[in-house]
Amino acid sequence: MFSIVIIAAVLSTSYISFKSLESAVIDSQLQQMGHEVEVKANLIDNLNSRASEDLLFAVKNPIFVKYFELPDTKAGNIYKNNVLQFTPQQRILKNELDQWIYNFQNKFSIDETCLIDKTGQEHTRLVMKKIAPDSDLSSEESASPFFKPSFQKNINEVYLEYPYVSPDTGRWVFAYTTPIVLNDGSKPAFYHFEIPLKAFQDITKVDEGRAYVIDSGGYLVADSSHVYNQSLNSAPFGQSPKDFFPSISTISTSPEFNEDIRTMLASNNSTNISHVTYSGDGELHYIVFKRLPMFDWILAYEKPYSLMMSGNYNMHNLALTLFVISLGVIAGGLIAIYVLSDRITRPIIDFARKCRDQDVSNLQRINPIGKDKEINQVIYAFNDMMERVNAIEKQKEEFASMVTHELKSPLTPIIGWCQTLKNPKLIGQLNSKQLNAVDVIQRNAKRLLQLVGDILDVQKLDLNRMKFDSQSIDVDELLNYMYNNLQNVMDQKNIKQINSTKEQLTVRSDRNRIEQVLNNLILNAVDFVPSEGGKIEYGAQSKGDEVIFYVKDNGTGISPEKQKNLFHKFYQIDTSVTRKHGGSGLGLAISKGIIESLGGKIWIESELGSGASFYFTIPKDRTKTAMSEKVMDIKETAK
Amino acid sequence: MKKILGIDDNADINELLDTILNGSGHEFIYVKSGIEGLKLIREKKFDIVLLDLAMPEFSGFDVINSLVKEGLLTKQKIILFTASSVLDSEIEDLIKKGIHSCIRKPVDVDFLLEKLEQVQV
Repeated sequence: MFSIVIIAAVLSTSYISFKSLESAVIDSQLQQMGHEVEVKANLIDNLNSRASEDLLFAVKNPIFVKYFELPDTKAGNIYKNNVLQFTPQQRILKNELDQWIYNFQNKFSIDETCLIDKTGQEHTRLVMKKIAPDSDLSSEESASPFFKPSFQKNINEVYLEYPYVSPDTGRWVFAYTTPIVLNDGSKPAFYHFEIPLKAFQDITKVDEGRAYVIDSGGYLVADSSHVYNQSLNSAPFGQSPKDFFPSISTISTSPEFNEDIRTMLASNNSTNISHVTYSGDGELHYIVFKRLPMFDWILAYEKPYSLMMSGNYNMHNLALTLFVISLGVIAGGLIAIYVLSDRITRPIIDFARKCRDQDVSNLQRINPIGKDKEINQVIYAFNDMMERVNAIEKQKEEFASMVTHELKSPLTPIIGWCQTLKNPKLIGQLNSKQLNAVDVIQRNAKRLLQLVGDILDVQKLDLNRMKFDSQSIDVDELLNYMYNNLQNVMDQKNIKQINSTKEQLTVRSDRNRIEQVLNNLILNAVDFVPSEGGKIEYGAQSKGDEVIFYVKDNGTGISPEKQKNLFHKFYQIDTSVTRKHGGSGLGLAISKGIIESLGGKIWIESELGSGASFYFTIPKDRTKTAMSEKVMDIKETAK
Repeated sequence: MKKILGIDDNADINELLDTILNGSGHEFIYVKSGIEGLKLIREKKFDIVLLDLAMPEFSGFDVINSLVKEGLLTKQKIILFTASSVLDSEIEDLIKKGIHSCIRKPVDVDFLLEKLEQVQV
């Protein structure tokens, strides 16, 4: 019991500390992931702001203003074969401008740069390392409505275009535009450049786990687990993002994850870092996310549980340490239990044994056991209780013996007076009716006397208070004496009694008690033999140190089930028989008690239909047996 | 005809014995306590003394012990007349001390008369 408690305690403590460390590890991992997300969000912000700054920086170059303030430029609209025809003045400035843009574009990761006036005429275009007009480049770009938002911006304001496929590079790009503002505040043209989405995707790369950017359209514009095709696309402009970007379903299709996506997209009012979880692939996945202000995208960083834990030596160490500690504590606990139980359990077992060894009729105080105060408290309390029980028991015995004795006393004059009444010489002759009445009184008084005697005997046997004599008994003489006494009864019932004793036997025991038992067995048999041809055989024979007495009848016999209860108190085979016999139902119980007290055994052998045989043994010398029993007792005590 | 003294605290038994014994030709007198019985035993010679054992205050055993001390026990034929469970061996011990015999209560009247008849005066 103790051991189970200790093992459970140790295991639960280990479990709790393991769990708390686990949650600490996860918390720190989440924090780390949050930091990573923050760093990436900053990089994205930086990319954006740097691009904007670069754009503004470029626009501040006076050549832009110079070029657009040229009267030639202002005159505008000189096309030939759909290609703008530059004036020499323009060409000088434009060469300078193109060269500067070329350098600028090389310096930053810009794919394409355009300079377009508000009529939609393209004044300059650089794509990668090519400068328009170039046969590889498309002839024009539609100025409106594509660039319309740019003109609505003020100076120093940058418009960020939602990603699209660039017609010239065939790549997915971000586009940044800003107007060229002249000294008079007019905005004759805008400057536009495209940064490939790859730059953005590069930022989301992570060493472990998966980082991705979710578009509200349900696809991933960046995904560390996806290799984006960076080569030219065949269908610029018309290409749907869904055809190019992986779907969020490549992460998970579980309803839990979809719920997470809704949660993340609904967080569009906040740019705080949060986290959600979902179960997939047999483990829990943690997603740390942050909303990006640009295009309401969500930057997410995801790790499964195993990855959160992997490489965490603390966890492994703790698990190992806990295991070792658990084993140690369990072993220690078991040793402690063993020691404790030796200190606590042994005195209790001793105490229990001493309780069991008590003689019920004479309870003795139990001496303190060991040094344990609590156990001795119990023993003291037990002793107090025992004394009270002894006192009550004594009172009860005295009362019972007083009552039975008092019941017996009046029977002497009752029976005596009955006999006197029946004796015409003493107090006159009664008529036959009166004599009959006296007979009934006398018979019942005798029956009452028998019952009271039986109860007294049972009481004495129970309390071990029956005194037994030890006298020399001539068995043959005893049996003959009984034979003569019983002859009257046998004659009345027409029963043949046989004393089949064949040897001269002497025993040293209690003659009256043996006679009582024999009488009991023989009178029982009288009730069971058939009314015609009844036969009762009894006698004794020597066997070793004992004499076996027997009483056999030719009655109906007793079934094995009934034999079991035969010697129990108040057991009666047949109540109608008892009525006839007038017994108390105590006869065989008393017989058993007497025979066992005299050092013998009593038993029955019977089969239904073939009569019953009762046997009992009596040691030839009771004093010897009693002596040897005492010696045994002393030896037992010495042990 | 025998002179018999009964010592018993039970008046019904005394009267019963009075009826039986006097009716059977004996000369029976009785007292109700051990003290009175002891006094009479000292004063007179009876053929038989029927002595009850269980009596309040001064029991049959007290009477016997007093008689043993006074050396009077063998001078009288004392028959114990008792309902108490006294062992045969205990009676034998008492007989060795000088008691005549023991008759157990309740007693069969004919048996009692027969026993008393057998006592040699």
